[in-house]
Amino acid sequence: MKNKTPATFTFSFVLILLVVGLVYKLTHKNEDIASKPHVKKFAERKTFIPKSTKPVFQPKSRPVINVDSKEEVVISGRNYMINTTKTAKRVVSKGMVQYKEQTNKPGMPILTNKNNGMSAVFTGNLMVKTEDSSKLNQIIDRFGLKLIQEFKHLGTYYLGAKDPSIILRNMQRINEVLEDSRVEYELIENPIKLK
Amino acid sequence: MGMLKLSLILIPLLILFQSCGGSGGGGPSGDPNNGGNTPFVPDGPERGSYTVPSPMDSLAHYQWHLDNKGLKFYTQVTNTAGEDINHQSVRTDAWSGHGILVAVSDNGTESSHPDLFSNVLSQYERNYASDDPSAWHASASPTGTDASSAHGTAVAGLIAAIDGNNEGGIGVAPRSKLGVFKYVGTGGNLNKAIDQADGPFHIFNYSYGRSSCAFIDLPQSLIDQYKYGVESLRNGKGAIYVKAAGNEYISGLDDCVDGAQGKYYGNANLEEEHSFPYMIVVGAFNADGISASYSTPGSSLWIVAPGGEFGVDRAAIITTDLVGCDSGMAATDTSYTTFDKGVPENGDCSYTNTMNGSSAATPIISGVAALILEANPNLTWREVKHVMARTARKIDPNRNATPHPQGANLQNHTYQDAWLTNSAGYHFHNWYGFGAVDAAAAVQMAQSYSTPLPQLQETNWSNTRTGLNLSIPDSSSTGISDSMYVSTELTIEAVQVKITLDHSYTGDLGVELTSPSGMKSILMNINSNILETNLTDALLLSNAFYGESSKGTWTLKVIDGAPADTGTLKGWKLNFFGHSRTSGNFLAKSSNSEQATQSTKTNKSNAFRNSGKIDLSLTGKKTKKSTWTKARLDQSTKTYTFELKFKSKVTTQATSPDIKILDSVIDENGNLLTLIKKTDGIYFGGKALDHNAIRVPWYMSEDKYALYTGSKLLLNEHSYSISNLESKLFQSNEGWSYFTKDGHRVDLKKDGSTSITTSKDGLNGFTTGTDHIEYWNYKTKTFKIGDSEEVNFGINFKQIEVIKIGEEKIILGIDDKSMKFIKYNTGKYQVFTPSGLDYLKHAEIKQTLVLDNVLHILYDSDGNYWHIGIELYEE
Repeated sequence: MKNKTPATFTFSFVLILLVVGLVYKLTHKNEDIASKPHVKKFAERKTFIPKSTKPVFQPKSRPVINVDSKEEVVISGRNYMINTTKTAKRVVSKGMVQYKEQTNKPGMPILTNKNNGMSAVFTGNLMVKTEDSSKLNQIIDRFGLKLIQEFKHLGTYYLGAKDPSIILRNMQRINEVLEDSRVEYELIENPIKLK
Repeated sequence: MGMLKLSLILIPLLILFQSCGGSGGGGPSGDPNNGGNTPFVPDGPERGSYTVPSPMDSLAHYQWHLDNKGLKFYTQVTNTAGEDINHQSVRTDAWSGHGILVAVSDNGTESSHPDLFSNVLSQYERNYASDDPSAWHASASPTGTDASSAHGTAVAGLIAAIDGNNEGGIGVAPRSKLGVFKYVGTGGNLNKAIDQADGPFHIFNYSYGRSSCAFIDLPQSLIDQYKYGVESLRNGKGAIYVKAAGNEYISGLDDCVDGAQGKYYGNANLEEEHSFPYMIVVGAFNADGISASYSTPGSSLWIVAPGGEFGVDRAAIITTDLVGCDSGMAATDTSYTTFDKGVPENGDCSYTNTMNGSSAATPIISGVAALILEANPNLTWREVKHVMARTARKIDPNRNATPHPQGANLQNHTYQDAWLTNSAGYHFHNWYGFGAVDAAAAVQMAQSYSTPLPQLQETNWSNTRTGLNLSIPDSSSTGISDSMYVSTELTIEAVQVKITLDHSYTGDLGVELTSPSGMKSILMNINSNILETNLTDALLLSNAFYGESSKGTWTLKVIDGAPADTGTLKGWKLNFFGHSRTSGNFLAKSSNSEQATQSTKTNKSNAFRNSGKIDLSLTGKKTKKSTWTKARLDQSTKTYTFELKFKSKVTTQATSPDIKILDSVIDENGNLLTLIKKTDGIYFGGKALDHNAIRVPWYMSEDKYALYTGSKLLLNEHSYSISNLESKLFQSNEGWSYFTKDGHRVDLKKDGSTSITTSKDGLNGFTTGTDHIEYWNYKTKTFKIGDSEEVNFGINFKQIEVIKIGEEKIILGIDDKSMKFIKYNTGKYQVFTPSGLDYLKHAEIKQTLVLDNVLHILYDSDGNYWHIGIELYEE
């Protein structure tokens, strides 16, 4: 056969493409950062603006409040909206703690900061700075709390909540019992990935 | 009914990095004195009997962050030699971090790594994965082999990778010891946050952080813990807390809110942990000595260290990785870098060349802190910070003011300033803090450090402005400014600011703070896109005023950088951390520099060359004493005393043997000028009590000189009353020439016996000069020297000079864009602007720059910078 058939020609062409592609892949392994997500692991690669490219400023991005309720709570002067249908569940996987969103199930309340749209998990845990530790007993049984840890050098007590929603509903009452004390309610915030 | 304080606990959850892991103590009543751990006892050998291993471990040769040799190592681009932490001599001198215990609070560390194992002390390991505090310090090891604990392994290696084991590279402090925590990714509970900041550690390394897309308050309990740490740990000398600034030069808003579109431009200041002086906030630079492309800037930065780029085209950082090619960086996916997957230099994939970020820069600073404490264990936490700031290298020194990363600039507004120098002599840049850490210089200073800082004081927000309702002009560089006078006089170590404002989109807003000396600090950049509406007592911090005095008038400026949203400034507060100035300024970078500024402002004197400390005692109709001080080129200081009678007979007396007062003159406005000569032949300039009237002193040789004010001229020993002088006096072969306001030319002969001549029509295109040709055309208002570009000047044209000092080149003018720069002699430069400047009118001294030499920098009422009276003729 003096002439190659169309099938042979096509096969050769495809083979050449494959070889070229393979060579390219082998010789260009390190050049594309975007294809190497692990390289971005620690410091995210930021957008370089080539000198010849006219920079384009991203338009304003306002806080997005995606909450199905108008119910609000004020904590430390900040206004939060309470998500009434979704709660958070604490999940430990391979030693990593994550807070996962769940619908219509008991769990930790999810709050949304009205000023910046960021979500936060209200764990119900609180840190109390007081010189009168007897007051702690008054709230422990009444609101389902447990003394987890005392930091003597700071004069503070860390209390865990059995049911965070109870704490959320009774913050004012807790504050009244712990008058003259400093009470900090624990929020897990920024960034919270509820998946 | 007592006040019940209700605060919000906001905890960093996962922050930038994933993690897991720990062990010991704790429990419902963990021991606050040692954090549940036993006291640290260093092993041998002591430094004196320690021999630096040789040869160095093989990868250390390529660890550019220690000693940048200008190589490239599995990257595309060659590094820039010298852009490192100056570690080589430190190692040669056997500084190794011996006796120092560092806590690496991260996502777990492979304690058994061959380059770490003997430096990781199991009794100090912690794992916060459990919610039961009794389990944290007990037995659980933070060791992990999954990819998520690669980060902590890399961080640990940067601090304390073992030297001399023929394995990999070396740490900055290769004989320091580590307590490794698995903290990041364990839930973010407040009690864990407090516990991990406590214990018998000298240094805490925090290579993590939160996204700076909004203000998030820090729980007061955690602030209390950090305060406790610096006041009580390390036997009261204070633990060193080192914290990553972040990697959010540009970042996505979905960092903070799921699904949010767009970018924000990070600011280290927004993470409240950075807004307390207890933290050393660390940014990153790359192997070319430039801020890393991701590094988060901010006025809360203290210092920068190598963080590298991405290890593919440009170098990242070489450090330890989880052992094995099926774990750590090598196992993250199938497209790992050549080095990471196991090249001959990395056969078992125990090392990575892709560690980067402020996460990498932070342990490098922790390592340097370990070296400093080894050199002088008695230093307090503030003194360690001071040593770092004092010895930091001015990296990227020619960096100009920079625009918004994506073009959202505002006309007539500087988005990010270039390097600025405060009145205590410290350079500061929001990208770099005080500069790049210099390990060798820091260790050297620590060794000889002998002046303890006075007790730390805090003004506790006693300076407030409330009840304001100042409208912030929309999309205008004018902004709104508000000032307050601070009567408390401290030497500043840090300044906190709280701002309250109503605004429908604070992502538009920039905030600037200016000190009494004129030093400006940008606390927030305009158009950051941060996600906030309204701010209530939003906390910011600036280190830019370090060493300055708190006393005087402070000005806050708020600028709205984009149209549409508007708002009002409601109030602001200042809180100073510092110490008493009664015994002098312990922080001043140059012992005289700050005094120079103060006295210059008082006297409004002209600048001197190579001057020392000068005391002026004025007697006569007006009697007052003042001090006139300047730093010296040769960094020594001399004192001269003058006794001068104001506006009458002038007598002068030099108490220094090498000084001679050549002449003095007082004009009818009471301005005093003196011409001073040193025995080494160097002339000083003249000076006046009122800089509004003085003109630049002029001289040609040791016995030819001239001084003039706006009304009287002194030429050698002959003085002439000349009215209507206008433009600069310049020199010709015959003498001096200048112009009058009404267009006359005045020539003075050099021999001093000549008369003054004037010409009304001789002003077109004449030439002059002894070693160059100057072309003037007064009618067309143009000027040039030799073959230089012809420049225009206005009717009130004045000359502004540029001084080159060593490698520093300072160009000053009323308008950078229109300023012309001409060099026409070795070491001699001139700059011209077309603007109509009236020399020194409206100018007030705002700032003194202290370089190798000293300049006095003014800026006028329009904010344009000048220098005055500088005469740096090399001949």
